[in-house]
Amino acid sequence: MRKPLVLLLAAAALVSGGACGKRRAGGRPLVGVTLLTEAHVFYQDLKRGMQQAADSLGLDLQIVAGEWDLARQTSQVDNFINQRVDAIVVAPVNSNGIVSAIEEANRAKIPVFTADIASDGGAVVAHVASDNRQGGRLLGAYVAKRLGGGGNVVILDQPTVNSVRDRVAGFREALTAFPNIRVLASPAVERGIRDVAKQKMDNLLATGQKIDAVFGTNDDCALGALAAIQAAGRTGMIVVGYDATPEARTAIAQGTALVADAVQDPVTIGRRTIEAVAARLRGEPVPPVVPVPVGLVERDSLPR
Amino acid sequence: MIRRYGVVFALLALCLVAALFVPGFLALGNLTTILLHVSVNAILALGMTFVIVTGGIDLSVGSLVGFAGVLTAAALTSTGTLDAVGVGGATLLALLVGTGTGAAVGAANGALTAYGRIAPFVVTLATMTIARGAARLVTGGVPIGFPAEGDPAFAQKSAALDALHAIGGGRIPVPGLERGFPMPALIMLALVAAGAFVLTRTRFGRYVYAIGGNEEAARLSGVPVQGVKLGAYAISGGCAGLAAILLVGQLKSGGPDAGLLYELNAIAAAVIGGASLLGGVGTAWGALVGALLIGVLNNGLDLLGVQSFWQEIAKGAIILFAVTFDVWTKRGGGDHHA
Repeated sequence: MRKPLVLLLAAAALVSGGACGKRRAGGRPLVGVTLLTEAHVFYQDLKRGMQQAADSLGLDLQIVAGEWDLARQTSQVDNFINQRVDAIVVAPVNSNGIVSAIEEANRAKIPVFTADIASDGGAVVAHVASDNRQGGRLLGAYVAKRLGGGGNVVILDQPTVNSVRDRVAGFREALTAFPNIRVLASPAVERGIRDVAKQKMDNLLATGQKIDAVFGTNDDCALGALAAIQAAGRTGMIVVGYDATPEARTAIAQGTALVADAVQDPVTIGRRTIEAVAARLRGEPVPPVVPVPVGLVERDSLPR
Repeated sequence: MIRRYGVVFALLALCLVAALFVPGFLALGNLTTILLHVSVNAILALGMTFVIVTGGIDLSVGSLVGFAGVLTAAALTSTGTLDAVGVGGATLLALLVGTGTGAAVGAANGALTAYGRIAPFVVTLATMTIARGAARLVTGGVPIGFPAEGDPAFAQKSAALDALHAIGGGRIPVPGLERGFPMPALIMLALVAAGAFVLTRTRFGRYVYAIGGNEEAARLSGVPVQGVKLGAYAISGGCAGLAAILLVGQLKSGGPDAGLLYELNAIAAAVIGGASLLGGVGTAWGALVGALLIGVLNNGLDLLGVQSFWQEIAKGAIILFAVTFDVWTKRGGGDHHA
């Protein structure tokens, strides 16, 4: 095996000589984007918003995704640095682990922007995201109102995701005003996927405890909980979710146990992010944090 | 020739295609970055090769990257250690904790397989789940690493992370190479060379092949089968520990979910590199070439901005292609101990 490997390295060294420093045609700025995942409606919307803004502002985007793997996302940032992109946008896999990749881009003097999820360190020009704490408070207040100020609540949590930590913090904050509302359990739903959420909820229902409301920290969690409740034939419970995906909207409109959703605006987050990038590339000032407000969707606010 | 070096030709062909169609692929900076990106998988695949050659399998390495990684990060950034032994001492401790954890869990895998006579698939499936759970338990689900702003030990912790970053993400200045040569790639090449030496030039290595070729015959001819198996799993675990250290160093963070499903990438690399799950066949350099093949594919598709879903399909197709090619060229027997 050794001889061919040496040959291979020699061949690679030989051909690479003249291939350095290619220049992009057309002179449009190139922005490297790495998302947490592409397998999620939220990020598909975010991506669409970015693409719309990029088209109207004359930027080229190269969009890839880490797919929940921090090492992979870091390698994608490395690739952007090697390609000498004009700006890098990261929707980090996690806030703590992305710092070194951002520092690497800082060293290469490429401006970095974060969308949806913030970084714990490194120099970031602007962070564009939903005000998740406000969204959590909105849902907490809504649940408290629906329960008449008393009852047992379950949170389907994702403690490793920062934006979810903010949602849950806001939710709990709103509930502190109601001493008769108790958070019964807050199991972690691995990767926030639906079948895991359903299993967690199945198990909670199986314990026979009285549960009045469930907060699904994303719509897969909420819909997983809804599936479990429907399968168990339980009534008199409400579920609230986060993101108001088309499926969740349908469930709300049909009058299921899923009664309300916090609605983020990923398309706007995507747009604002690329607008911030474009402003910075034109040399204009950009605020360090661009909050995008979160709203509430319930049955009455949906078209029938 | 084509039978023995088929994978190398496949890698060359893929590089050629990438060179023609992917702008920026052939830049020296990009080629060295590929080496950086494959280092973790290549080291895992190297350890995996030892196990696969004995006829076993090690599903625990991905979880072990997470578990050894969070312990490494914890040892590195604990205020207690930093106060007692300083940044240098904490770095050394982190290195010992990372490799030690990996090798210890690996040895436990080996002991249960060799002495407990439990199928390696089952043993390592169990330790895979235990190690992942332990990683999440130790951290409470939150990554350990980059200190929060306002942490009283911010400067010390940052210095410790920088020290490990020099190993896991450091670049050795090389004239003509703007960003330097990545340290983990150098470590990977050294480890693969060492692994190749052990497999082909030592008695232990010959025993590894003998067990995978025919365990009963090996036993009858006096090979200490159980001890050698334990050694192979310990090596695989130790490699996972080293990979964890490099990953924590590179990311300056030990996440409980780090290394998720890496065992499958490692098995893929080993198999693409010619290792046979039936045992007795496989090489250290093959594991590296297999990891490179996956790495070049990922890099090329990323540079083109291809959607990640297509990348997964492409990787699976390459595995199928490599194995089919292998079966096809080996049909008719001969030359098994390549």
